[in-house]
Amino acid sequence: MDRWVLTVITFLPLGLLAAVLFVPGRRPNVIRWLSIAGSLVPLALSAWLWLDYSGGAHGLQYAVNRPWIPLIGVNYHVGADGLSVPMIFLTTLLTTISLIYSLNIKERVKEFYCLFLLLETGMLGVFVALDYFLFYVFWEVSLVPMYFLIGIWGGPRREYAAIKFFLYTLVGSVAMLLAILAMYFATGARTFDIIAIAGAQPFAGQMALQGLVFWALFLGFAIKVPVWPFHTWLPDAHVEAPTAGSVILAGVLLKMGCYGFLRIVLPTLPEAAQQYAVWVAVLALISIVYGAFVAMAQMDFKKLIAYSSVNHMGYVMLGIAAACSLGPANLSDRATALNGAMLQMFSHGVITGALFLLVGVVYERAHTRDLREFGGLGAVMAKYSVLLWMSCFASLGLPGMSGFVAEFFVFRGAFPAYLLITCLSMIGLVVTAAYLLWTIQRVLLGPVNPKWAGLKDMDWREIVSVVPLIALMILFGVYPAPIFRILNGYATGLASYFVGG
Amino acid sequence: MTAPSLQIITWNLWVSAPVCALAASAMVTLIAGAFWPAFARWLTPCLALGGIALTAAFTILAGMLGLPPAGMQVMDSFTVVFDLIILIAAFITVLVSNHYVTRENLERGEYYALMMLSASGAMLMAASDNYVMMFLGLELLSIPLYVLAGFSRGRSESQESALKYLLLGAFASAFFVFGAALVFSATGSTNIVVAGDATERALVGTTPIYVIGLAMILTALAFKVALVPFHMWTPDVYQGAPTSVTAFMAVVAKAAGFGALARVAAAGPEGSWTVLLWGLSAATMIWGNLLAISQNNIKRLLAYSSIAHAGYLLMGILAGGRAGISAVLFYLLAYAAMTFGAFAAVIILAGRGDGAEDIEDYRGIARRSPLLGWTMAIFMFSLAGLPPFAGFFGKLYLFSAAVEAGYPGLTVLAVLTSVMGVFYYLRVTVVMWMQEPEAESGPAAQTSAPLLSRLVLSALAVAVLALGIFSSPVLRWTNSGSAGLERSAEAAIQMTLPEPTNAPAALSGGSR
Amino acid sequence: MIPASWCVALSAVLFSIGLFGVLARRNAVAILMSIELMLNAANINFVAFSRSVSPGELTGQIFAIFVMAIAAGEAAVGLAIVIALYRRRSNITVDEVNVLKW
Repeated sequence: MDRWVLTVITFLPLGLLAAVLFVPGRRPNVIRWLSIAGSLVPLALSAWLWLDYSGGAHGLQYAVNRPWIPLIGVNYHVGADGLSVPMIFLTTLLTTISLIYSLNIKERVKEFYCLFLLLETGMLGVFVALDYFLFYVFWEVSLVPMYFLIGIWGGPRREYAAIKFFLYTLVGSVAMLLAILAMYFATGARTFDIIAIAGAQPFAGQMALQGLVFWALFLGFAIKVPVWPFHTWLPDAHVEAPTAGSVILAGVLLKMGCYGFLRIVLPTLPEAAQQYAVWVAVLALISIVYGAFVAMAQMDFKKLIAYSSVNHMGYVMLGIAAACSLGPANLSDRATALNGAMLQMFSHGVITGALFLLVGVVYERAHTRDLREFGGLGAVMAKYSVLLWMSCFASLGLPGMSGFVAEFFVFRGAFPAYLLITCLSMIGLVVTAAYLLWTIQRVLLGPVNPKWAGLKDMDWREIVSVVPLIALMILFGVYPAPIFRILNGYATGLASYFVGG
Repeated sequence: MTAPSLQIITWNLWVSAPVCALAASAMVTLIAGAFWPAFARWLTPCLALGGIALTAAFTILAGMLGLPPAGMQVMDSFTVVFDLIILIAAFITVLVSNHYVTRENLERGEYYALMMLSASGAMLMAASDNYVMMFLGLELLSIPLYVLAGFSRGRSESQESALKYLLLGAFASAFFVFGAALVFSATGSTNIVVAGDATERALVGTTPIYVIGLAMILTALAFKVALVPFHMWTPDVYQGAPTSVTAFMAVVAKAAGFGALARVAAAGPEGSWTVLLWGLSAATMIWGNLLAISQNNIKRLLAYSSIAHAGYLLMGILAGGRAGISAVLFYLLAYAAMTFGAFAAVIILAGRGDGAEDIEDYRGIARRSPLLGWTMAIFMFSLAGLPPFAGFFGKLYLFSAAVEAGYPGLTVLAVLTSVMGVFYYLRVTVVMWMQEPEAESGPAAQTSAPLLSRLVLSALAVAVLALGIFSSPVLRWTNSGSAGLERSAEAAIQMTLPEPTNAPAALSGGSR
Repeated sequence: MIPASWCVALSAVLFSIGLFGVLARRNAVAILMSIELMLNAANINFVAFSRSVSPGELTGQIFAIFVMAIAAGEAAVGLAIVIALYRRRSNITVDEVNVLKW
């Protein structure tokens, strides 16, 4: 039974979708609560997964491997290890939260919830798939609902944002598809199995070809992360997307890019990863510093948070690049960098999710996101103010919050690898603190703008959405052991995996 | 094995049973429509569906008999698979046509009869291993289609479409015949495989003439399947013809052309032939996708998209072998499902007199009719090649066959052009889903349709999804088809090889 | 006996004249006639070579008969379409058949 738990988690939302389809559209409340209640099941199962997962190096568990298209060697191969378990939990958690938050969606409720459930299946599939074909299918399945979510429920420039998001990601995934085909044919074993292909090392010694495949995969994943200069779709998509869409986009979809690096690029193309690590590190540095400075210049609250994602995902990439470049002598540094990167993935998902929700809260009341118009909300909305303070502190890396632990690990691991780059990226840390504090000042502090004197404080729906995320930030900030227990197995396993280099 | 008998046809009636069954059913339908015009509305489509089902039964039966080549036609597993694809397509056409034909007052008996005759020509084309038979099939396919294209006699566009299709179709046939004549004069045989084999073994000293002849045959088939630069007629004819006929043309005529190409390509000489196919495929993918981007009329858009898809299909022909041909067959099936789906939706949307055919007319239609919105989105995403729909799986099989056969460059090009394609398919979904309906946006698109149309639409959407996710058994089936093609090519050569003295005078006569 | 090369030359010339006619003439009936010319060029080839490349068999002749029969069918349908168009427009010049852009 255990073995099928991942399948159940992944496809349960799809089953739920089928059920929702049969609810008539004029009963929106039934649709809403059915979806929310249903989405609790995958959430509970993924929490169970977290507790049940026993860790250890190469700790692949709950694996199922069945032939799907035997003629070309495609299998339905799913499994979970230290990398995917937290991501599965993050996905189910953020989906449930988004569904709860989206109770305020009034238009085309049925379509909204259906697309969201489809999106959940796509995302979960990406994190459980251990077959390239399956991975690619789920990767694209997660793209389409998000396109509709942005395009239908988005802001005024939603069509532009949706198309841009779709085409950017598609260009990346097509590059990825070509790379997958190259690996498939280079392996020659007629298998799309991610682990089997990594084990076969199809390009060992062929640096030119390996480099080509590496950059193709890099393009696919870097657009998703996004790494500078492929980030331009992100602010548009975020600004136009409905709040719940932004939460999922920043919280989970961006992580799929990093996940791709950790799951595919590093184990399969270790030599190219090592050779080009410095370029990745430089791009990560630019993302960190550029993201921070551009965020500082934003007057749109949501755009600011969007650019802060570019900045924070830069740390993940820095950690990955550092882990690639370190030699066999620095095994523990390598594992540290990877642990940091993976924790940052989780922590950023939680923090940025909370921030986008909070932006949504104030936008719904004030119908503006212009930071220049706010001020003094702290006196008007007390609960809001507390939650925003905490989320911003977590985001800027205050000790005691999960962001700090993650960034500390990344820097600790990256230090031996790239002294200069790591030092320079500290600038990003400072600027991040500056713009977040400035934001708090502009929104919460100062004299109350009379225009906003009558704003209501957060209601139960919004509080229920945000509080669990805040709790996780604090939990893993103070006591990160439960998550490191899970991450560390994969980190050390991956670190020792490509020692050969 | 018995001595070869190219002495014109030792008829094995079973070999031609499916084609004859379909043609006979067409005649019955025609007569029924002529004698009981009052019942034409429901009688003729029912007869057509029955005839198609009967033919399918005959095809499966004939396939199980394992018949040897009959000299003109072969009943190998390729024929069986291909015929069934054509029959499925014809079956869907009847279902899709019903609403259109009723609405546009075209319910005359000959409509379905002509369609069935055309389908029997398509079957004949793929089943023939002789240029004579292939020509017969080509004409049997085309002539009814000329009439069908002009079937809406009240509309100038329809008549014009018929004239254009006729002139270019006849022009292409002339190329085919002259090409066959050249092949015959170079090799002394009109058997596809034997002629190719004779050239390969240099039995005759006139290879250049053979290559020119083959190139002319290729040109004719390229007209039929709309490969660039022989595609000019496609958008006009597709736009002008009655929509249900357009769907039939886009699927069945194209499939027939590729069936014939699969047979001919097996006999193509190395070198110049592959370069030719490579260039045609590349030009078709690029040009088709490029021109589709600027189209506003949905039928023209689908026409250019069908051109682009011909380019992808040609990749499979170029790759050849078991994987390549199997991928072509699979893709034809997937392409049939999604193209019929798109046209079925257009038939409903366009309304009486085909008023609303501009994409802009479909603003916000998904809000008025979720069914049309969802299904059209599925067809568009599938045509664009996104998983988990059939279009993606089909493309993947084609691409991997091409890589395996040693054409990675063309594959990269195909992948890039399919990204280009996503842009215009996406536009349809943007208009339907994301834009608000405008008050004065020209002729209003319709959303109401009879139950049958809605059922067909949903069934096609499900088929597009199922063909993707459960593609494994289908792929195994198409694989058996491509294996059959290989086997019968070998058999045809075997028949001419063993004792040169026994070989037909056709071959030796030419060289001496 | 007439050498085969003469026949090839004749059929090639006929085919080219037909091809030119299709491309140059604007009258639909003239285009149909040109296509007939192209088909007959092929027929000459078939019949001529039937004797030299496959003596004792009638492959070429038979193909030629097939072509003639089908060409007749095609012409019948073609002329019917042209007449239908003429009734509506009183004009069969292909340049003016342009409700659809070419």
